[in-house]
Amino acid sequence: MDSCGPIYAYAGKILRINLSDGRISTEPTSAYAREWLGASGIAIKILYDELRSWVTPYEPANKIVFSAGALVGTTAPGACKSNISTLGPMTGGWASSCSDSYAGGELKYAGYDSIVIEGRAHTPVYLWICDDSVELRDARRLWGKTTWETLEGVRKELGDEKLHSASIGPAGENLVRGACVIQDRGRAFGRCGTGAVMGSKNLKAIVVKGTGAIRVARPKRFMETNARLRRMFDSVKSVEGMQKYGTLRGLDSKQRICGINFKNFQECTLPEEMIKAVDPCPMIDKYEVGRQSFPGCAFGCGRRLHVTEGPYAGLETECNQMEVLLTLQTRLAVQEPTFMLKANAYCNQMGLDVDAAGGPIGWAMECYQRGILTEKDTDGLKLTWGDAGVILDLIRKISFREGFGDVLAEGCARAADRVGRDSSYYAMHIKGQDLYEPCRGSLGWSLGTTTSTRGGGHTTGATLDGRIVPEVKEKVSAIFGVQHPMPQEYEDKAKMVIFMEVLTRVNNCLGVCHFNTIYGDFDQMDLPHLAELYSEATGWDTSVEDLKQLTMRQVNLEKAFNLRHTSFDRKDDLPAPRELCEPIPKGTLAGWKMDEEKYHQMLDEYYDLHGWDRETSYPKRETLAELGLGYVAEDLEKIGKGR
Amino acid sequence: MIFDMPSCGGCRTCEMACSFKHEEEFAPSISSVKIIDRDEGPGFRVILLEETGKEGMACDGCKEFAVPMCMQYCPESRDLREILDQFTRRGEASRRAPPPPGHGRGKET
Repeated sequence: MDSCGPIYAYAGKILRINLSDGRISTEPTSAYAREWLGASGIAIKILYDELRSWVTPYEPANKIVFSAGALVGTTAPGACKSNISTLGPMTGGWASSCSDSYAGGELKYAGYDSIVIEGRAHTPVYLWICDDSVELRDARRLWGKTTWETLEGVRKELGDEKLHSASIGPAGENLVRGACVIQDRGRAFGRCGTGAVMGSKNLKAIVVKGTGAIRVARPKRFMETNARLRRMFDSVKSVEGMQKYGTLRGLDSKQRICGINFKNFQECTLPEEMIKAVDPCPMIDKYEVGRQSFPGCAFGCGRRLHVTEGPYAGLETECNQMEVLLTLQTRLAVQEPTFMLKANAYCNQMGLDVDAAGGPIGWAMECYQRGILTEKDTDGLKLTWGDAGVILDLIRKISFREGFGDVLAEGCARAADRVGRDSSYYAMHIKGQDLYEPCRGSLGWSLGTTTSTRGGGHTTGATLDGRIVPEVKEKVSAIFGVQHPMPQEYEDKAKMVIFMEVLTRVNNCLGVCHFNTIYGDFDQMDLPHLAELYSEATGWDTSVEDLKQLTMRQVNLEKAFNLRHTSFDRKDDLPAPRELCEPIPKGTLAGWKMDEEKYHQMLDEYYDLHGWDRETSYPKRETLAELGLGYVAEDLEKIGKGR
Repeated sequence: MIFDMPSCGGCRTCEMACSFKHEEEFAPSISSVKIIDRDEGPGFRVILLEETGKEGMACDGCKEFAVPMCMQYCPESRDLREILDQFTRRGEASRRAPPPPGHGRGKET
């Protein structure tokens, strides 16, 4: 396509803002969009090309790319996702986080697919975009405020109660490594520390409103496909449960597969009394006041709650999803069922990623349990499992880098390095990124989580092993094209993870919520549906094979970005030592232990399928060349990482 | 007209669908239906525009379709149908006998 010609589905422009000197410019999205699928796909190309190897996360030379997915702003099912990508402070490498909400659609209606943010403002500012008007406004009055106060503040200042923001809280301002960016009050660009990079740039918030339009290339066919796909959701059995409880409906399944993080990974199931106490479904039934859904979603899995009893009576917040339950409630062994709501809301206010709270606090509590840490280390706090007040106080101390919180604000990996005393065994992380995902009993989940280019995390390649049960084995085998899909089989996991790497990147690039696709239920949208939507929206006939090629190019560039900025190699793609050394202590898989040799064979297969070197994990020259990344191979040669 | 819709989750997909019906493009700013937050209580408020103006285009009830566009994209379409029916009935009533000032705004909230 001619880069100057018409473009559909995309808004058409990338906005570039230099915070140091106030320069604002635009460039056409079409310069990127044929070779790099939207959002995070375009972001990795921009960041790889523009960040030199000497750049570190908090320097003005680092850049942030805020993007809306290619289908955002249309009625495509689940198309409400935005992405923030940067060089991140948690891993020191590729940082890329997504969040569902309204700001992405507003950005596209304002005429932009992405914002590239460069430099550092001399004093705190926020970015206000209203169609063609782009303004950096004084945010000194907002500095120090929570994300909730910031939303209220910008709405008041700009005189519009309907505005949407993506803001940082005190954690981002104080360069807490796991600081996140929050859309409005409750939707987080979690993990990776994108909020800290915003803080380093003195950028408090992005506020955007658009009154323009998004056009699609083949309107009639696009809408027919939409209608057909939406009817498909009517027969998806899990939809009713998702509408009622979101992913929290799956606690029993997590217990069954030994996928629960209890007392910082010491156990993978909950004691009977604990699972009864923290069951979130009765609590949701009791406190729900309304639904919460985001643009395009085919069913809506959010709920607004008003807690009227107990220690957090009066709290009004959007209900969290499963990750919060496992990383803040069960990991830290808190019995009060409303604690997860309180802790999640508080993290959101502080702009602190829940895993960057649960990870280091869990590590610290286990170290305290074992006598590695004492009250001399913890500002006098007794880090007893389940002590909700202490946990909330630690979230505050982390957010403000106060006392012992300054140690925890570095994430569990660096905190353990700082403390020493053999505490690193209890620091559950991958590539420096705090982990909530128990990996021991689920091989596809583990492989995808630990090889993730953004550090630990299950949303860029892990298989969803809780749903891979004997009853659906045939269907799963057909989807993945494998014979051995079950979670405790080492065979075929590499192939399944690569399939998930494609699916999750397609979702992230198009801006489609994972839970509207087969990521959430095997009867939902699959790659052919996404290819169809993208083709009709853009007018560019795009096959599943094309999507695979585009996303594999993206994975390889993410990998190369990490090789340029970090020392990651094969050892960093392995599970945490505890996961490899300890058997599952209780539950249906009691006694199951990963076979390290077989795990390495699985990893070999994963590298082979990718065309990466087994010994180092580095992409091979021919692999890069086949993907049109010959220049990347040359770059890697120069730093001694060519293969 | 403004209506309460307690079951609305606020996804605003109806706004996109409505604008598509009018102009074959996605532009909530021209939509006949607007979803707005409530200060308290469940759900959201639904505004249906009676006249075309700077807020958007007048709702014509999508008479050319068996099911109005906004309903086709609403997970709670039965409740939205009720609102559309009220909108139509009140519109017809106001054309027959214009109400005094302060009335004729649906289920006022």
